[in-house]
Amino acid sequence: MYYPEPMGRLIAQLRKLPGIGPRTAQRLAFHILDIPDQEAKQLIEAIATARDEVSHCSICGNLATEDPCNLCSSPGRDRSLICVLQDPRAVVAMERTHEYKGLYHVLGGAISPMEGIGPDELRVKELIQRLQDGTVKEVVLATDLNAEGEVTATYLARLIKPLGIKTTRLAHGLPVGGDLEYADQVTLAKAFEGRREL
Amino acid sequence: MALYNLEAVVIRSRNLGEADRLLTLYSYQRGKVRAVARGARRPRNRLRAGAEPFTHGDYLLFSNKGLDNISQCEIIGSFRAIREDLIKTAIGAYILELLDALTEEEEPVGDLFPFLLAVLETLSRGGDLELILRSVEVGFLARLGYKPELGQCVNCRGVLKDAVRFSAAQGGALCFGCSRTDSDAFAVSAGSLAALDYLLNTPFDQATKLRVSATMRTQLKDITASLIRSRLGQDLKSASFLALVKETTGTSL
Repeated sequence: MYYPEPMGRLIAQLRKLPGIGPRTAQRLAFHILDIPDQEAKQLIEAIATARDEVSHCSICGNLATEDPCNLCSSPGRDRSLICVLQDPRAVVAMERTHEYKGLYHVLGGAISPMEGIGPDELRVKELIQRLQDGTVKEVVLATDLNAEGEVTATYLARLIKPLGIKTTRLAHGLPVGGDLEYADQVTLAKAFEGRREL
Repeated sequence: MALYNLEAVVIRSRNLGEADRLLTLYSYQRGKVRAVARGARRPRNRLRAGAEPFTHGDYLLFSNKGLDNISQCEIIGSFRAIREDLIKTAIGAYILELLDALTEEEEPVGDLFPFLLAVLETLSRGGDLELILRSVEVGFLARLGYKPELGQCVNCRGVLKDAVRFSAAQGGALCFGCSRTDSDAFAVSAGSLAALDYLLNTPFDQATKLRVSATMRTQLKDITASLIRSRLGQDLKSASFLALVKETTGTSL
């Protein structure tokens, strides 16, 4: 090791982060040493506070500092609508649209038969439990539009439909600003299927 | 940097890094190949649809120091009918995982690629899904050199009479006299062996039209499951999801 021991340890810890290779870890370590004391302390405190105070909401599974989270406890949200998502990051993406006013349910992943991830590894039982009291009238399955997301949505629809609850899936299609000629045939076929009258 | 073309089916697709996907392709030209589809998780990426499991396409790859990269992809078929049906997806995932587990990289095997396409087309159309699954299992095993001996005793080469057992370890049927050579061998009927032989020697789309009793179906399942376990030494991960789907939907598989 060519670095002083504490520096080497810092680089080793940074390398454990996703997407961080040895060079990036070194650059970040040098940056952390160069920043003012106050900024370094804020970084340490931000990591410690996030670790201590952020947990999962016991109702929706989203990240929260309180239980239930502010979305689940908000009186302004439509309680007849639940949007099912794979990941807390997807909640942020949905909230940014300012279009959706219902509640959320975060599964914590998607079914992946080949990776051995089944419904038991996800918050599926909790979702079905939330649907028992008759308040929810529609479940929007907003899992990712890939093979894992599709199989998760299809599986959930099988469980939810017999409860007499409307089950919908997010539309598939062309991205805003995309050129038609560059779209692949699967996306284009889905977009064609989902066309609507103007 | 060498460019090369592959006609292939995506048999596995896993997230890699921030926005990439690591694909396992089964190709006509080179057999099993692993390659990276850079940026395939981004919404506007052109490789996105071509990086999904079950996709059959023409892929242009360039070789790198490490894993090869996918440069372009022209989709030939996406097998949507499989991906949009829970039971077919569960069976399809099991089939792709089985192919992945049984094959080595860069070792193309005879007619395995056309067989895979025929399998996916038949699965898309539907039919007797249980028999399709059995046909695929024995079809893969036979093409990869693990064809079970069904016509004579695998141990003494003698004639098989009524009391027959099946030994996965020895790879075939045992006559009454040899049944003690494998304590794990289990009883099977001559009819089940004949049905398995029919599945092995009949074109795939015809084989699945065979009519077999519930007892024979159970025995066929026991035979193929024991052969696969004996080759792989473990159960496939997707087998548990297949069992769950079977339970949820009340399907016999």
